[in-house]
Amino acid sequence: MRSITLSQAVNEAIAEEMRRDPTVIILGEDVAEAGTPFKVLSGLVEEFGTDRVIDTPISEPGFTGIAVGAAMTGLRPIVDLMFGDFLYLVMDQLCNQAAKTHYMSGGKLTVPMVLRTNLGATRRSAAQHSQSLHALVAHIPGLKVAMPSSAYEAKGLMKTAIRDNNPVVIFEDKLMYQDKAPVPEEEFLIPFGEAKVHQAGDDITLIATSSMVQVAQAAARLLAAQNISAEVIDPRTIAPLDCSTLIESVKKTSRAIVIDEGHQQYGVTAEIASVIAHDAFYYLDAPVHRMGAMDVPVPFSPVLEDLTVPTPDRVVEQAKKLMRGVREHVA
Amino acid sequence: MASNQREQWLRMYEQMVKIRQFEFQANQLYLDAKMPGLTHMYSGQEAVAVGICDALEKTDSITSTHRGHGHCVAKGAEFKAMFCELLGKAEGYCRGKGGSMHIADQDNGNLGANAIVGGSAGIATGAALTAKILGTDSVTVCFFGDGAMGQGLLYEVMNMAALWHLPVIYACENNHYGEYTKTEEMAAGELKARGEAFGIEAFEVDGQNVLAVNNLTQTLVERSRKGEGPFLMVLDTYRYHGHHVGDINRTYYRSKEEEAHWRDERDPIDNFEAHMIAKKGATKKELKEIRARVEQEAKAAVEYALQADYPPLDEVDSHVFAA
Amino acid sequence: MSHEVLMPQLGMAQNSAIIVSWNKTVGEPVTEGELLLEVETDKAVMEVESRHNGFVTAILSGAGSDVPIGDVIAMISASADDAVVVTKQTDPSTAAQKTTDAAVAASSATISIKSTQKNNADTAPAQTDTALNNNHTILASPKAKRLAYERGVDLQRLIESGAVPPFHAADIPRSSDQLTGSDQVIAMLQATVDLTGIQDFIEWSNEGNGANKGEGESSSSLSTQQMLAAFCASGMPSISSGNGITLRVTDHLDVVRYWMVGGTGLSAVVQVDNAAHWDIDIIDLSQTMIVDYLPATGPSSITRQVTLVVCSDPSASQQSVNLRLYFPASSMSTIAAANWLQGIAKRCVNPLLQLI
Repeated sequence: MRSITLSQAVNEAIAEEMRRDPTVIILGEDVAEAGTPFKVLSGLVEEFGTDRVIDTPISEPGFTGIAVGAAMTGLRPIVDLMFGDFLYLVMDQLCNQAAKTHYMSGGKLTVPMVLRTNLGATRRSAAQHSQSLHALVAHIPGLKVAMPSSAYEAKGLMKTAIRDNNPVVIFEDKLMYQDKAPVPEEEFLIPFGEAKVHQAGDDITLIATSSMVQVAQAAARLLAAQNISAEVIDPRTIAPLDCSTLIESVKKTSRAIVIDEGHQQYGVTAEIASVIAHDAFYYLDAPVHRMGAMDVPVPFSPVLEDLTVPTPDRVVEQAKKLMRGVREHVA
Repeated sequence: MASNQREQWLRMYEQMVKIRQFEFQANQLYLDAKMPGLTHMYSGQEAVAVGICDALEKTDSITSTHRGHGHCVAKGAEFKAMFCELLGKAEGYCRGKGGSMHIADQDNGNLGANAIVGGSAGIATGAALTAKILGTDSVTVCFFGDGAMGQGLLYEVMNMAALWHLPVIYACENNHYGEYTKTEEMAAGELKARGEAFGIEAFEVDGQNVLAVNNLTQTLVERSRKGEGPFLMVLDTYRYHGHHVGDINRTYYRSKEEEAHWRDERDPIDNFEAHMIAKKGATKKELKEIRARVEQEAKAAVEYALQADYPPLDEVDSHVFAA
Repeated sequence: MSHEVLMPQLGMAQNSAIIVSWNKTVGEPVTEGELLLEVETDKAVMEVESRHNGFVTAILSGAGSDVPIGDVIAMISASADDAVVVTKQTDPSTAAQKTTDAAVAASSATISIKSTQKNNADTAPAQTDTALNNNHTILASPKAKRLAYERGVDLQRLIESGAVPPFHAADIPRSSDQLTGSDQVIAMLQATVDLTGIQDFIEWSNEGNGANKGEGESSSSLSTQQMLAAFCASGMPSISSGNGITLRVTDHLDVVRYWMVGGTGLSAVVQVDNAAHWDIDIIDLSQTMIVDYLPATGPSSITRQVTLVVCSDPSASQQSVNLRLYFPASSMSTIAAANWLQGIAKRCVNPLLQLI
């Protein structure tokens, strides 16, 4: 199978859906000729024209609001929010308008829009361009939240998001745009609410989202060398969350570490840990451990910034602590 | 007088009476503690909603505000489903999930009232973008109050609407008070100039004169369909009640004399009635009959809504997501 | 035709309002728009106008009353004739007072119920000291505790076997056999008592002297078995619930009776037809040729079951019996068991102790 970058995968997904459905449009800052700062959308304006790939002024709430109205009246807009950090600017339009319209109208109005944005620290971009704010929107009923962990997931989830009849926020890891992964040339969709077991294991479950899936996979390799068998699960969408796959895995392994790049306090790790602690309680042989981003604004200095996000080494260290009750693994 | 003009006058008169009557009944429901929550009365501003909506087709859209009953009626909504919504009943426009501040009537092009001041400016502009991209020829009117002139979102979308020549008409109902504060204390400069800064043609009109509002809107709708939009209308009007139904003691922000002046001298319904009779467009008896009939309809709708069923409890988590 | 005048809703966060004054009295005519009354909310005093023409025929809440919004406060009728009847029926001040009294009564009732529940909650834990509860206080993972429960493993015994908590799943043996061996399960204490005291007491009591007798009980007579049940229930160190103690008594090798003991007095010992569980199993062999009985042991019987075997002492007088108490060592300490058996034995010798 061919391998393409995550950036190409997103581009392909959007292009395919725009060809398939003339109501799909893109709105955002520098999405047309510039193709966004990360060049993810390069080439789309050439194929679909400026009527459908629309450069906006630097007015995030404005163009997000316009997308909500367009979605309510027959289009399927994709809003391009250049940095996840700008979510704070669009909260009213996203959370008060888009998320609630279907419910408030008793099911009459729908808002089929996608807001694509990004997350991820360690790009040396400091506190206002490095945040991972997916928990913020996953808290809001009426919004779906997808978090692709590779080019393959990025393509399949984006296509599903565009076809979904609800507002979907999709977070891409901005450090992964150039990472390649095998992606089939033929069309495929990835359903929401279905976690993917990247790697099966017996001793401990590592649940990781987006960028942290790579971290979990690296940790699993290190653990295997120490005779600890880790299962790596990627929820792929955190709203809806595939609880049963996570619970079944932990029932098997009895231990879990939840790894996510959002802040740890009140975050995605807390939500997933509580699901496990509740539904797999009598199968737990160790406390569920959470590893989120440190609860500090993201610092600029590289030596400081690197401390704030989970790393494979730190996952391994925690996994071994949780394994201590199992005699055969204790050194 | 041409029969189609007489027909239109009578239609607009009846719509204004319907709004006044709807609000009267809604206020009674509130005072009698039969209505959950609270509501914002449109009484006094009827000529704005009716003058504008009568110039629109059913396929044209509007977005509305927290003070939205008037827009809803003017765009063609039915009393029964509206009262049911106000009382949280299953037969309401939103199955009781929206209430007074969120009535949406998509079939008649009402994209919904909005409880965030200025919150619907993006939605209206987006609807206009849809019309442009799909070439549907429809126009969207964005109703908002003078208070929304303080919201940044409005200017972001006005800017884009102007850049992209969208068929949207921003209708600012200047009722002179944002909540409990005079507009002059909140808005620097002229309201009209806010649109003109973006190169948007802006108009001031007497919002108590239904014919003036209607004539201007007809022109602007026609021009919008030709791609000459967007436009801004600033409509001079007045709300008879407080900001909301419980806003009774309001002399600290506006005088009883001022209220009496608007009610006695500038009432849009009374003045239009006098105009119609003077122009032989209708007889006093005819108009009295309309008022009586509308009152009966409203009372019947209230009775119906009071007896109607609440939504089944299992609907609490339906409609969170669309299929 | 009559109209109800309702306490209007006037503010945003208002549940009730106080009537300041009525501008009309019963029987007075009133016109639409005319000032009817003044009410006060937390914010201000406001005027309420009449919405109808007619006569005030009833004022149901007087000045000073705090009335919930939506409540009927007055009636306006087309005819003044209705007035007398309605006003006679309702006296606003007493009606309001009644409501307040009822509310006070209701709230004090609630408080007393709560305190009762609290007492129950306070006393219940003090009576429980079983092996299963031991498992709750020993540090172990949820999975380890679940496995221990499923496999019948007592974690306290796991500690005694040398394992160190916190326990994890891997620490829990596949079955309790691996941990305990059958010889460790049951401990036994024996007391030898003379039953003459009980028999004398029964004789005395059945002559009508017993303090335990109440009305309607005169036909029933005390039995040795009943007294033994009462003695056993007194001071038992561990029981399964706070609802008294249930005993199963087997005598003559095949007659099975169940006794419930709800309190300390002899009248609190009641025979019941059947019971699903019992706290003490009494095997009375005193009227048989059998002189000993050893309860079955093994993984499935490692329970809280306490067995008291009553058997004759062939080496002693006819009135002397042996009381053999078999108990799982995990369910109570030897000292506690010894104190308990000592108590039973003393009461057998001197039944009056039970009445103290």
